[in-house]
Amino acid sequence: MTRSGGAVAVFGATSYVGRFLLERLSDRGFTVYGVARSSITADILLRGLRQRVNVCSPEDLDDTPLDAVINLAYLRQSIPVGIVRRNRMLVDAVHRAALRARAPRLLHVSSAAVFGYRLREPPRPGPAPRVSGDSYFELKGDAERRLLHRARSAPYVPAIIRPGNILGPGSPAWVAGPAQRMLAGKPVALVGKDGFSNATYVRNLADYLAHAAASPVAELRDFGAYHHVAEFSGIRWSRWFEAFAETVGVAPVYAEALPAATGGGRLSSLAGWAARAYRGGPLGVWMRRLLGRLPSDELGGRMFLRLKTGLAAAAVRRGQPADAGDAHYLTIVSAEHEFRSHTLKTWTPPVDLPAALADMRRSLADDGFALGALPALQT
Amino acid sequence: MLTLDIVGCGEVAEQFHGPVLRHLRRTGVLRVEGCYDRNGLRARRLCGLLGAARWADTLPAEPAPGVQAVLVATPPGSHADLTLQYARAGRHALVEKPFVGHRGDADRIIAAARQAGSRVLVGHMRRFYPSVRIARDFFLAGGLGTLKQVVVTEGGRWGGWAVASNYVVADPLGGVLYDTGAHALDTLLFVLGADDDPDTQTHVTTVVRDRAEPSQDLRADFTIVRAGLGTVPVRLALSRTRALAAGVRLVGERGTLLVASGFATSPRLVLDGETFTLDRAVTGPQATDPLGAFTLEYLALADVARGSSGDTVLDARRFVTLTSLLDQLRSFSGAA
Repeated sequence: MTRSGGAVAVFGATSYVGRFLLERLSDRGFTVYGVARSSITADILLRGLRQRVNVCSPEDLDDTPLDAVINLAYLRQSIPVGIVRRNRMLVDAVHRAALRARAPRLLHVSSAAVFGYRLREPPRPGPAPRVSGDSYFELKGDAERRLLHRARSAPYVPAIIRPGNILGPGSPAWVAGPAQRMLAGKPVALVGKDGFSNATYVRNLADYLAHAAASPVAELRDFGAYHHVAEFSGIRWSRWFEAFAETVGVAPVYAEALPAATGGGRLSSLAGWAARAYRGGPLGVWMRRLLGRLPSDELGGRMFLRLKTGLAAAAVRRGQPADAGDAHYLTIVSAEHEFRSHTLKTWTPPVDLPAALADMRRSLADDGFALGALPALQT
Repeated sequence: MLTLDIVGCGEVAEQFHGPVLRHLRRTGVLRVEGCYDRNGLRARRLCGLLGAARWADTLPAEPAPGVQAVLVATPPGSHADLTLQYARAGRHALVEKPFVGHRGDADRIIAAARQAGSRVLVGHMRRFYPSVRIARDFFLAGGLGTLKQVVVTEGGRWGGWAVASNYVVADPLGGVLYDTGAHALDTLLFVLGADDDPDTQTHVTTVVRDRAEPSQDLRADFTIVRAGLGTVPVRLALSRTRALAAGVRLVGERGTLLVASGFATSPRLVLDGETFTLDRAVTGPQATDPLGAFTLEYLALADVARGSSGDTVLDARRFVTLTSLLDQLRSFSGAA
């Protein structure tokens, strides 16, 4: 493998964006290290790229000199015990990798969600307010702050890159998700609330990250730490959904209002109270922080499993609570404020709106969402 | 009260069966006697969670005297041997899906159980989803008219759930075909009423996969041949690398029936571009949520243990056609 374009390590290589980024970096001539914690996940998701990318574990990176470290990794919220500690350990590991590799750039991919699912005002490229209400964006915000704190005394230039809602072929959240909603007759949005999509197209995002990885360090430093990537932010959700619906062959359904009760609404007694308190309100924030700072050892895991199965057992008796994810989704597609792009002046998105739409509609048909067509017989 | 052993204490047993077993233990439906797993730590953890009497990292040669049934929740490659061991000892079994890898294994287990007076059920819990039950009733009542084409798709990016071993990339029964495909194809056969018909035949014509089994992305064409149904072409797409449409699509002369793979209370019917929700009384037990579907599995097992000779939709004989079809798809080499 040649090193004509320098070397870049990508943490979180098995993520949805990871695959596009690895391809883009490779296309640009970088020597690419795709870092994944799970060899099983890497085997499943990255096998097709092994000819072009060095897939490795964090330990394998060792002291390999790098021109940039890009972090796409984040913790999922399966077990809240110790999650804040593990989130910070992850950021620290990326920081240490950049130091060991003497990388002059560290690009940390965060999310527009650091401003909360409901944007209360137009987000600005600067430190995010400490919003609370959901572990996902609480952890994203905490990771940003942790990294910038670590970077104060580091020789690399940090960049916090916040993508908007990431659309692309097979995008689980914003393409496949709404298409599946159409097939299932679930609402894709609220009546009369055609929000800003605040979207970035995944191939554009990958290109931007590759561009930033190759940009002069001085340019990155002069630009400032915060980058917002949402080149299609002004496009309303209805524009995307109408295009998807045309491919799917089903008219989308719209909801009158957000689901009323979420998070343990149908649980009763102590278990129900605990579930509701945990998922929302100031007590929930405090509980999540407390759990998140506990040591994530076997005992903590066992305690959480006991609590979780206990709550689920209560759900067996009382019926499942409403899906909080549904309310989050409908909140996001009702965005009243635009998450505008703030990107390096030397970058131009390579994929325009018609090409992005055509790409996604083709993927919807290939992936079985189009009622009038058979899914592709290709892998 | 049903007395149960659990063999295989990994993620499936812990996350999906655990809550239901805790609930059923509290309500006096069952008690767990032993928890067994090669990983003793996991066995001990589940034992503590469920208040079981014992745990071990090896299976005893014979089930304890009071044990009436077993939950087999190990990786699929070991289902056949473990189920046979309990069935031959006269114990009932609830086997996690996929049942077994070969038609011969399925036949052997069914014969052994019959001889020993035990029953074997397979945990295809989607059969209790209201949407699936309604779709089956609607289809079998002739609601779609002649069936012209079927599309079965299901997939999502591998989320890295904490499998205790690497069987998902190493065991030929650990790929997307037996994991996701077993569910999706079972829904199809059940809705068509083909699961309970030994004369149903399947013929695979094309298989495209990303690698030898265990594949992670698989596309295929096959046909189902059945009296009263004729020959129906099926396009199958399964993936652990891409988000695919999730469900079974039956294209009939009168419309298209959509049966979602996730829990749903009703299927959708598409007529001339307009969609309708099918919602009507259903025959047989149905769940009101996914955990309820697991609960119904155990209620069926408890029924069997009480000596009920009644039919259940989870009876092993109803999964012989599915086992054959999965085996054909797995071993297809290109020669139709």
